[in-house]
Amino acid sequence: MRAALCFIYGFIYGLGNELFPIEVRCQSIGISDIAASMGGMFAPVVILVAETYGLNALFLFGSLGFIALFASHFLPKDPMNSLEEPDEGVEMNYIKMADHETV
Amino acid sequence: MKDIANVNGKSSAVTDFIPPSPKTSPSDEQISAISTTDSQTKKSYNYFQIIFHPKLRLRVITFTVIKTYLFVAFFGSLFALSSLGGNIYVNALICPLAEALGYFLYCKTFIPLIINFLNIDKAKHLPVLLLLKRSLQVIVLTGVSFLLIPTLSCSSFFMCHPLFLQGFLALVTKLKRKSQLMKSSR
Repeated sequence: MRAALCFIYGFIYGLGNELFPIEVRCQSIGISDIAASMGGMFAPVVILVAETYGLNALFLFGSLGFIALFASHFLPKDPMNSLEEPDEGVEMNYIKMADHETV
Repeated sequence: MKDIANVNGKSSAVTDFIPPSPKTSPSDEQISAISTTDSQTKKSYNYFQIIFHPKLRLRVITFTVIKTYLFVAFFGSLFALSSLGGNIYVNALICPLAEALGYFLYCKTFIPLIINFLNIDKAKHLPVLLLLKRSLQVIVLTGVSFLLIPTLSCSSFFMCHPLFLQGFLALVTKLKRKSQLMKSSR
């Protein structure tokens, strides 16, 4: 788990550069950094909660990864694509919805 | 120049000394491709469009969720070393070793990608998102395994555990008996 976390750590910075246009890159990465620092502050609280309820703290951190994994599906498949162009996933969903409506 | 030449009744001088270069060369194609991508991303974005632009808003929220989780898990797993059991000092030794393994894997995958990315002829998009999803799956699986097998912590040597050895020996004896029964039935 620790190795996988360190493995991700570099990629998340690369992804941040690809996701946002240059005009708002600093602001958007800054907002996410603020939230991440707040999360880091709450890490000991999570351990305390796990200990009080008799859970393994590492299991709790691993299961929290489900949320991040679910959130990663909302990211575009081609982050370098312009924001004005439709994402592939969104377009596919739209086509599926249109097919459902016609049926 | 042409007007002066017409007034004097002579042909105009040649001003285009540089012959037009062929547009089919690969370098020009690359340049045109880069220029088209630049023109696509020419639209400027304000600070407030982080909130009001639907795609940008979704990206910011998603990125924030992932990064927050990462920080929580990174620092949390560091602080939760004492809850692993066994010797704390051995845990503190094993934790950086796992980190080193992670950074090594990161360098091993990322450095060739950067080399490929710098080479314009073989320029490919970095599969950052795919790697992110794969490593998140690994984290989830390892996190679940910590509950399923609580004795499998970093410092408790699972293979040397007396209960495990007893169970293993019992399994071996059972298998031996079964094989003997099979042989006798034949």
